[in-house]
Amino acid sequence: MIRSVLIGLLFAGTAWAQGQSRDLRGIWQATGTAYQNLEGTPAQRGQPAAKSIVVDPSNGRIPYSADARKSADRNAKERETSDPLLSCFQPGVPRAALLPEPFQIFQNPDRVVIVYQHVHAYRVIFTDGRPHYDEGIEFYMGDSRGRWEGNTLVVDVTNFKPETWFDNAGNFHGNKLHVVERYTRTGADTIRYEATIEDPEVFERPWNIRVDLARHTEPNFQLLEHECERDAKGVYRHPPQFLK
Amino acid sequence: MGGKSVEHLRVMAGNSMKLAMLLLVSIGAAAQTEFTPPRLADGHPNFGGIWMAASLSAAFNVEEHGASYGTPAGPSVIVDPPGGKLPYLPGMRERAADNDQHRERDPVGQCHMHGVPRVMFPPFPLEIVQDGNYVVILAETEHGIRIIPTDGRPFLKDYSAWNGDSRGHWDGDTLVVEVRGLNGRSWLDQAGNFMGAGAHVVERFRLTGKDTLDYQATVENPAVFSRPFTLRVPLRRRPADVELLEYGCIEGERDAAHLPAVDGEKK
Amino acid sequence: MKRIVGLLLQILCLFGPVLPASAHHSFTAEFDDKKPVKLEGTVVRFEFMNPHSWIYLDVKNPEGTVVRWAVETGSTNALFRRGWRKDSLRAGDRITVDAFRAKDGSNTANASTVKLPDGRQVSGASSRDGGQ
Repeated sequence: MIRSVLIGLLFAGTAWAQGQSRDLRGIWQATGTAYQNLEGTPAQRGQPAAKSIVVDPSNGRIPYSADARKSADRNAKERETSDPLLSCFQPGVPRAALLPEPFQIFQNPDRVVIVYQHVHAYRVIFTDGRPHYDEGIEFYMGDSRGRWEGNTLVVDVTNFKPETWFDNAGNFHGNKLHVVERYTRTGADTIRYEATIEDPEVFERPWNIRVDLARHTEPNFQLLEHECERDAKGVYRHPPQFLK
Repeated sequence: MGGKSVEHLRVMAGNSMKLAMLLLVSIGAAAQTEFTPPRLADGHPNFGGIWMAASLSAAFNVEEHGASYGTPAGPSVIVDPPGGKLPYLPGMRERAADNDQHRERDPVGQCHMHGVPRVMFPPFPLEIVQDGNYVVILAETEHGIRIIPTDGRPFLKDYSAWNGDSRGHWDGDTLVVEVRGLNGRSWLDQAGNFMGAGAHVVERFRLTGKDTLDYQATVENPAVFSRPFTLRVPLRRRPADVELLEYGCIEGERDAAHLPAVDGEKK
Repeated sequence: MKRIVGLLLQILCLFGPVLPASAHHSFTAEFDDKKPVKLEGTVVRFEFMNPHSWIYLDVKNPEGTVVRWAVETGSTNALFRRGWRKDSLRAGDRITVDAFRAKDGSNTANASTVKLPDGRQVSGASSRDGGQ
């Protein structure tokens, strides 16, 4: 009798967990500092030591072609002027999920909407099976179509414009970027975020990153407006949102 | 015909008038209350979907205007005050007219989010998404966003932003949104009408049919207007296959070099 | 190319006549409706982007010199909904553009219509007449 009750409770508990764990709603932000460099950073002024979030290949290095690695190194040297974020460009995927800025996930039966605080970029991820756009149009944030595999939201992202970076260090892609993201709730306030990244014109093979997202639980936390602008002199500013 | 018939006719006419008036009032009332909106699990009306202003006139000029180059003629969308004119204080209409002569100052031309209420009626689609205690309005233009909590939380203090800070609550089937923290730099339309810093906006959203959403905004700013005004721009649902497309603006902006120098501080 | 042009035009026909003038922002600050230009030239580059797509065109002057023009059309979104794609125009395409010149006198113009090599006219979805 007790065994039946326990089994019943376990089943109910699992069902409850099942129902809860497809819920990605809330305001999230990446843990760690991968936004500086996906491949990790040494400790230096303004930057803590951090491991690579590239989990495949296992050496934590992005599998660039030899020429592409040279371009990445050049980007790194020129980052203070060349980073597209400096010109108010939307951050692209997966960089948007890794920034030190929150984003909010909303869910409806047929779509997941992610609004990023950074330059108020957003993505509408249809989960009703409708197809991607054809190749004739490109977006900074790509074209996203999602489906559930168990409790993981798998998002296929295509149709990227080439002008985004992956991080502050100038890691980049070309015209044929394809990203597959995986969002999995791993607890009340955590999502495991994984992405498979490929671009046959830049990388020798697909590669994977993994990072934890943490929920913002502060009372009444909300995204703030982050508007980027270029003034008459061509200077890009992110004006403050608070008058005092 | 005898006097009795005339009296009879008059009574009949009187009754007909009363009947007609009763019918009109009933029709009016029925039109107001007849539509039962589709509802979400929490009982609130479902505003979800892609919408766009039923008439694009307001985007050009919220007041009545004739045709001019690049602009078709259109009626006023100001429903109060009657007369359809913005109740500018002395000197303010001149500033709007000056903006009109300097459309390079239009912040939308510089890729800024449109501000409230202008963000609700550009000639590009909007998407409304409801999720629990949030109503989210995605604007195609400028990939603009408005996140409207309906959980009764307080406003931010001393906030200054293009789309402001919004708080919503339900009044029956009407979503009432109060907007504070607008930065005063937005225009109301392409003609240079403006609201100024310190404006306060209250909006009302109500579904009036399967594909129609009544949108009204009451704006007050005692520094610019002699009294509050209300504009009304009905939104129409877009066909089911329409999706918002990304609209990166500043990434591809190349016109600024050809425009007269803009004084960023001027409103 | 011919197939793409044909398909493009078929799609454009579905979109019918000009919508009420609808623009992201006003055209009049930058372009002069009293300065129409007709540009006949060879496409160097077509950039499909927002807030305006750009056609870079090499135009031969009567004197024989070649002048590079930058011709602005409507937004990607407006063009896409009218059937344009990022490769709708390619380097080497010969086109004629009816446009309005920039007030600052530069070789910049806002396209009203684009005439393709086979003679058909397509809307530029300009700010002036149908930006959405």
